[in-house]
Parts: sequence; structure tokens; C-alpha cells
Amino acid sequence: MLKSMRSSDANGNALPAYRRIQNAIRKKIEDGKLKPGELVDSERELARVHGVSLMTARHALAELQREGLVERHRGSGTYVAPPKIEFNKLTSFTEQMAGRSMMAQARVLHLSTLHGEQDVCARLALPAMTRLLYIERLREAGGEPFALETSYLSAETYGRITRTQLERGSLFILLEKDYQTKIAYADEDVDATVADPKTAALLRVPQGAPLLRIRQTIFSTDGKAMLYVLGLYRSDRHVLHIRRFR
Amino acid sequence: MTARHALAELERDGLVERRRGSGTFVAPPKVQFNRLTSFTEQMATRSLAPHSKVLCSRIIQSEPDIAARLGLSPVTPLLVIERLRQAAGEPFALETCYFSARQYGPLSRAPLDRQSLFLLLQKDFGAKLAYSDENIDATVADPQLAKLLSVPRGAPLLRIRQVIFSEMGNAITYVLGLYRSDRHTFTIRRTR
Repeated sequence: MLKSMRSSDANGNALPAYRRIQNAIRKKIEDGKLKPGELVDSERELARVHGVSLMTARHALAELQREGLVERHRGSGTYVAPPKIEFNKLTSFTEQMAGRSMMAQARVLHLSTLHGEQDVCARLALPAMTRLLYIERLREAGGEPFALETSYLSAETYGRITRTQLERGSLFILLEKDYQTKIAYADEDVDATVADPKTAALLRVPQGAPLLRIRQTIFSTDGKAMLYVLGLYRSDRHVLHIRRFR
Repeated sequence: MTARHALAELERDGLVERRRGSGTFVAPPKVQFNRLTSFTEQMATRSLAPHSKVLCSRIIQSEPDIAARLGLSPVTPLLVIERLRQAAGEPFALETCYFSARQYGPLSRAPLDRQSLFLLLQKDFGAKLAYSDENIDATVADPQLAKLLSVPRGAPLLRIRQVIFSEMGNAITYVLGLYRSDRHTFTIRRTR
């Protein structure tokens, strides 16, 4: 039975039938022949076209769904899922979006300086009363809000950052280009929270919708904390993808 | 208004917890992860006595998507073990593990309520755990989960889906974990 389910890939290696089906669907999505929101062939259709059992076709779709590539809606079929952002490297939102050929936009909700944020100062290894530049941005892609990011930097060092600069592009690139800093790594605390009324309205999700919360301190290559970011990410559009070693 | 704003922001930062009708409390310290360590190992470093309640341990047929994650054929029988993880008498995670039943069947008789699964895998099955690939997102507690984890319905949960691999690169287990977000923070370092 297994034998009948297999064919060969380009290198002549045996490839299970469900993988073949998945590859065919993946290719259509990558080539833009299937776009987010469009209907994928039904199990029945896939089984007929690929000459496999209904069970195998179902297996292929179930796994694509787990991966988040397609979404199944009971009674109406399987659709190409809107893209989810996957992290594994420290990339800026703008860079991630560019990698997926999506237009990233930032709406600057707040840009000001404040002081007395002792907790944030401590995370940035600054004296408790240091003036901080406070930036609140709504991150959007394809016209849809994805994330609310609040960033804190030393006002003394970075106080000249303007709203226009922030709206135009990536904060990472701005820091690296205009301030000759090199970003090295981020230490992050990840947990879950739910959208309060204000956040729900900004992110266009219902109140109480699950959000991934990432608090990150970003360090430069000389080991200095340069930026603290509190990010709230819509969980229906974000998965954090990591590998951990024993 | 200003006072409410102050508390709302501290809550967003995870520093305080607000309970309707009873006030605002300093949030308890959270469990931190950073390496692929077992729950039992993590708890030991915090001198908390871990305990698990095995809710279910059975063989299932045809979970094709999970079989695929484990690199098994779609109809492979799988051993499913569902455990409620507790520390200091308080539930804080629900973990469902899937294994090839042929390879790891005897685990169903192992004392998983008090022994570390990682340790059993290493000791009794000679498994050498090397790394895990994980997808992390957020979800909320449905009525059943809320009851099991002693949280209100709709409470935020961290959802971690991980495939744990051996040194040989074989998938050993797939784990779907739901963690109370008021008790867990996942700590990682990412490099540029």
C-alpha cells in the first residue's frame, strides 16, 4: 500500500503522495497562481487529480493547515491563509515584510520624551531618571494592522529621531545607518495576553482576542542595551518560530 | 483616569494583575525558559516540587497531520499522553504528547505523574534529545481548558507546538503545550 502512495522527486527519491500534493499546492501559492483568500482544490478534486485516496488528500491538507498555509472553513472548503509572520532571526518588521513582498507601514501614534520610567531605564542599564524617547507605532501590512510596538531609547543619544524618519522606514536601519550602531542580538520575554479595549480598537480585533506579547531588549555589538520594545502582536497573524537546543 | 491609565499600563507590562471586584495585585514571578529543558528540570531549579496528573494515555489511529510532523506514515498508531502539569499544587500547563506507539508504547505504563518524561526517554528508551523546533503563539482558554487550568474563560494562554528531535535528527515526540500566561514567560535570545 505504501508503495502505491509513493512517487519520485527530481532526484529520484521516493516522495509520499501527500508530500507531492503539498508541493503542488505550495508551488501554486509561491507562483502567485493561488492568492491569500482563494479556494484550494477540494479533497475530492485533489484525490482525483493526483490519483490518490481521499484519506491521503485529507492528510496533505491537514498538514498544510497545521503549518498555517491554508485555513479550512467547515462546509465551505479550504482557502489559502493570509500570510503569518515567522521569526527566527532578529529582523525588523520592515525587513520581514520585504522578505514576503508585502508593504510594511508604520503609523506613529506617539513620539515624545518622558522621564521617570525607572523599570525601562533599568532594562536599558541607564540611571533611573534618564530622559527617554518614547515611540508608539502601529505596524501595518497590506493595509491591515498587525502589531502595536512601543519603543524606548535614550533621549540623549537618539532624541533627534523624527516622525517622518519613523514613518518612512525601519527603526533598525535608521539606527544602523544614522547612528553608526550595529545591532547584535535581543533578549526577549514572550508570553500571551488579551486585547484591552484600546488595543483591540487599534489592532481591529475583538476585545479579549489573544495577543502574543514580546518584551525585548536589543543590544549593540559592543554589548550595550540600546532599545527596549514592548510589542503586542495579533496572534491570528503571528507565529514565533524558534529552535532550542538541549 | 490618570490612575487607571497607570495601572492599565503596568498590567500590559505584566507587572501587576487586576482581578475584577477585588483589586490590583503584584504579579507573581514567572517561570522562565531558555533552553530545551523539561518541566521537571525547570521546577527543580526553582525548588518547586513538580507533579503531573495524567489525564489520558491511549493509542489512537489515523491522526495524519500529527503522524506527518513525526515523519511517520499517515496511519501509524500513535500513543497520546495528556498531562496536567502542576507546581505547588497549582495547575499551570496542559501538555499533550504524541509518540509512535510501536516505538514508545511502554511509556503508557510509566509513572509519568512523578517522573520526568525527558528522563524516562533517555533512561528507558536510550533516546538522545538534541533540539526542538517550536511554533509559539497566543490563544485563550475555552471552558474546558479554563476549568483544568483554574483560570477564567478567555484567559490568555501561551501555545507552544514543538517537535523534539534526537541527535540523529529523528522526531521523537510532538508536544502541544498550553501554558497559563500568568505563570509562564518564555525567554529567548535572537541574534541579528
